[in-house]
Amino acid sequence: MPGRTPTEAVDAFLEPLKESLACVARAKITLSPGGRAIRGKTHALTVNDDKPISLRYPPGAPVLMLRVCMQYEIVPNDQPGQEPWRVSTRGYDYELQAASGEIIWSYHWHPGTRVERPHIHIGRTQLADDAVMSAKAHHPTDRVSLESIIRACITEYGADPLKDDWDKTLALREGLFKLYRRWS
Amino acid sequence: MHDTRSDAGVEVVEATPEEGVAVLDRAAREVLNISGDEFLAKWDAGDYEGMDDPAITRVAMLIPFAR
Repeated sequence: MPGRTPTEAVDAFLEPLKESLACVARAKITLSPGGRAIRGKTHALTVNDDKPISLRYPPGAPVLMLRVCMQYEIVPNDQPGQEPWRVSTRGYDYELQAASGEIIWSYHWHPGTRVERPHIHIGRTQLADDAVMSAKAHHPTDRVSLESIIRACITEYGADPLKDDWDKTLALREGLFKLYRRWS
Repeated sequence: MHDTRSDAGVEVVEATPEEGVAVLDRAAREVLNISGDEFLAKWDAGDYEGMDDPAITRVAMLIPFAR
């Protein structure tokens, strides 16, 4: 979402991330130096100091963990009638891990490298010994939002939501993501 | 860290330059067993070009913390 200043645009970018993360964790987002105001440079953010977040599960259930890293840039907003600054996502790394730290899957988008399009890696522990797929293979996906990753953690991987209105929160934020994204 | 803001159980902080260097260094040591400086030197030299290792990507995503 746009803002009147670069800092306002960053705050508008972070707000849905904060609300979405709060559905499954109490967490800390760390911005790279200058990440709230400096234009013309790629910034990064990590959650919990680049350590995976332990998702909440019922007692006795296997615990899964989510690691989140994103890159973004503060750019002028060329949309008429809107505020003059916005934040453009430049890459992401969303990774689901077992409690042991083994990767279950990781959704990546890192343009500027050999594989330009978004993709998923399947963790080696999820593959049979004689599998044709490999953990290093890039399986193409559409652009994936953090909101949809968090929703999958709850609906597909059984994490307990921390907020009663998680479904509504994620739906609202996912809707805004789709409204303001420039590509998919 | 400075400029802490908190909302809905999620706080936001901005790393200082020193803390940013430490973020990259920690990840490079943990994932690739090299220092952050060594990683940046290899990255700049093109040693990782064409390599498809997700571990390298993971560290590379954090380069803005150190630059």
